Amino acid sequence: MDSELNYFFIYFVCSLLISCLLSLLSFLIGTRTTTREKLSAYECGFAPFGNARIKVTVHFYLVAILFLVFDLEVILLFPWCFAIPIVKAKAFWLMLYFFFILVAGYIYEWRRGALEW
Amino acid sequence: MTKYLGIFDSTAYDLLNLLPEIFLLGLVIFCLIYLSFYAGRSFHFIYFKVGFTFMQLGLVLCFLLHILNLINWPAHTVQVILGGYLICDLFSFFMKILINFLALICGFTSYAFQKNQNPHSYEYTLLLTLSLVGSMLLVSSYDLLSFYLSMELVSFCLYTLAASRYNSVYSVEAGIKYFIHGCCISGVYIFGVALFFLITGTTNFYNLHLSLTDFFLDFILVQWSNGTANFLEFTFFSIALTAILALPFFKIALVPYHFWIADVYEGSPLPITAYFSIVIKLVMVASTIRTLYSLFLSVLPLLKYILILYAIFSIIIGALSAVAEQKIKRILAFSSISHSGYIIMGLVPMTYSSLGAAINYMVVYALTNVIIFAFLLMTIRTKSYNTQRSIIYVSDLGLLKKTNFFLGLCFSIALLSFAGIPPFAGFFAKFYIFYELWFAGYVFSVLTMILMSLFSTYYYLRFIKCLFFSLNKKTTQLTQTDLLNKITISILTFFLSFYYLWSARINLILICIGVSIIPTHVDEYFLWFLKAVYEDNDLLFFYGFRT
Repeated sequence: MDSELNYFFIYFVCSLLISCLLSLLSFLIGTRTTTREKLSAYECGFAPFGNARIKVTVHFYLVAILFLVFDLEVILLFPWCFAIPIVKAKAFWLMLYFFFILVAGYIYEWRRGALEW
Repeated sequence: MTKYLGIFDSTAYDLLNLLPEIFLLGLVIFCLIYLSFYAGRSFHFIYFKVGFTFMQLGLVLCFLLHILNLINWPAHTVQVILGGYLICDLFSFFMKILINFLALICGFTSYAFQKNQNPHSYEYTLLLTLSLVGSMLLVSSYDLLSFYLSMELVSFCLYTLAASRYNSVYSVEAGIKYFIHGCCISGVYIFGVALFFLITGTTNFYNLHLSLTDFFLDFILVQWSNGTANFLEFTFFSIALTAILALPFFKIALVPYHFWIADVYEGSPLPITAYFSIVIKLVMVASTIRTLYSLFLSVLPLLKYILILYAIFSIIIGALSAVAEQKIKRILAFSSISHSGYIIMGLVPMTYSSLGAAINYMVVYALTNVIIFAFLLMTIRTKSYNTQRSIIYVSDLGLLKKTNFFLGLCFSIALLSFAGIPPFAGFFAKFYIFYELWFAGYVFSVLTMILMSLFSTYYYLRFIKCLFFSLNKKTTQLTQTDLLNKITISILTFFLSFYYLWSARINLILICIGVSIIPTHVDEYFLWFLKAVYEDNDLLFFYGFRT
C-alpha cells in the first residue's frame, strides 16, 4: 500500500509509542505519596463527600437523543449542498420532505411533553 | 456482459407502485401529530384505542391498494423502480399482500388481550405499522443499501416494541439484548457491503450478480489455471459474502446467530411476540431467499454446503433445547429456530420445485403460528386460585378439554401441524422439502431432519398431554374468548386440516412465485457459466419442474 495513508500510519505508530513510553517512565521513575485526601473523589471547590457515582436524571439522555436527530440533519445537509447543482429540483423537494418528517417528530415530542424538565 | 441497471429517474409509475407504503407512512405521520394534539401529555386507554382504530383501517386500505397495484401490474414482468433500489416482481407482490394480511390479523386478534392489559399510549400501534412499512420495503428491496435501510426501519421499531412494557424487567432486557446484538450484526453487514463495493463497484443485486459471475469465471478458469490467482480479492469476497448473509441469518435465528431469540420472545409483550413470529419471521425469511437466489445465485452451488451446516445445526439445536423448557414462549422460540432450519434446507437442492417447497413451508409456518398466538392471546382463569392471567407455562393449559374443548382441539391441530403429523398442512410442507432433498441426493441430511422432527414432536405432544390427559386437578378456563379470535382460529384450523385437498395446486402457484425471484431468465451465458465453473452437468437448477 503506497498512499498518503502511509504517513498517517507512521504518525499513528510513533504517537502510540511515545505516549506509552512517557506514561511508563512517569510510572517507573516518579515518586508517589498516597494520602487519604489524594485517593478520595475529587470535587471542585468544596470538601469531597459521598460517592462519585451518583444517579443522573434520565432527562439528560433524552435531551441528548433529541439533539442527535438535528445533528444528523446537519450531516445530511452538507453533502446535499454539494449535490444540489447536479440533481436540482428533486433534491430540493426531497430535502423539504425530510424536513417535514423531522418537524412532525419535533411537534410530537413538544406536544407530548418530552421537552419539559 | 453489459450492466443494464443504471441510475434511473423515478417516474410516476414508481410512485404509483409505492402508493401503499407512502399511504401508510403518511398515515403514521398524520396520526403522530394529530394524536399528540388530541392527547397532549395525558396517557389513557382511549388514545391507544383511537391509534389502534386508525392503524387497522389504514392496513385495510393498504391491502386494497396492494390488490389494485396487482391488478394494474403488467403480468409476468419484473419492474425495477427507484433507480434499481426496489423491485416489483411476483414474489414481492405476494409477500407484501401476505404480510399486510397477517399484520391485520395480528392486530385484531391481540385487541382483547390489549384491552385486558390496559395500555395507555398510542405510539405502540404506530410503531407496529411503521415496522410494517419497513417490511414491505424490505421484501421488495433490490439493492444492498435499500435492503439495509429497510431492515433498520423494521428493526428499530422492533427494539422499541420489545421493550414497550417498560415496568417489566424481562421486557426491557429483551429490548436491550435485541438492540445490542442487532446493532453488532448491522455493523458486520455494512462491512460486507463496503467490501463488495470495493471489489465490484456496485451495490445493486443484479449488477452484483453479473459481477460475481464474471469474477468467479475469471478466478476459476483463468487465474487458477495460470497460477496467478489473486487470493486477496477472493478473501475479500468470501468475507463479504459471510458478512452479508449474517444479517438475514441473524434475523431468522439460524444457529450461530440464534442466541437472542429465546430471551426476546420470552421478554416481549405477547402481542409483540406474536408479531415477531408471524410477520417478522416471514419477512426475514423472504429477504433471505431474495438475497440467496438473486444476489448469490452464481455462488450458490458452492454456498449450499455451508447452508446445509447452518440449517442442520439449527434443526438439531432447536429440537434439543426446547425439551427441558416450561414456558410456552421459549418453546415456540426454539421451535422457530428449527423451523427456519427446515426452510433453509429447502433452498439447498436448487430446483424450482424446492424453492416452491421452501416458500410453502414458510407460509404454512406463519398460518399455523396465527392459530397458536390467537389462542395464547386469550386470558385464562385458574379455577383453584380464581385469578386471571395470561398463559405462560405449559401447565397453565391443564385439562382445558373440560372447559373449552373446541379451542383445545384447534390448538392441538396447530401443534400437530407444527410437528408434521400427516393429515395436516405442516406434514405436506415438510414432505415437499424432504422429497426434494432426497431426490437431489441429500439422504443423510433428510434422515437427520426426520430424526430431529421426531425429537421436536416430544414437546409438541407435551402441550397436548396437558390439554387432554393431565393428572393435575387444577383445571383452567379461558375467560376472555374474543369472537374474532375464535373465528380466526376456526377458519385457519379448517384450512390446515383440509390443506391436502389443495396442496398440489398451492405448491404449483408458490413455485411460480419462487421462480420470479431468479434474475437471469436462464440465459445461455449463465448456463454455460455453471457448467464451466462447477463442472456439473447434472445441475437441476435450470431444468425446471421435475418430471
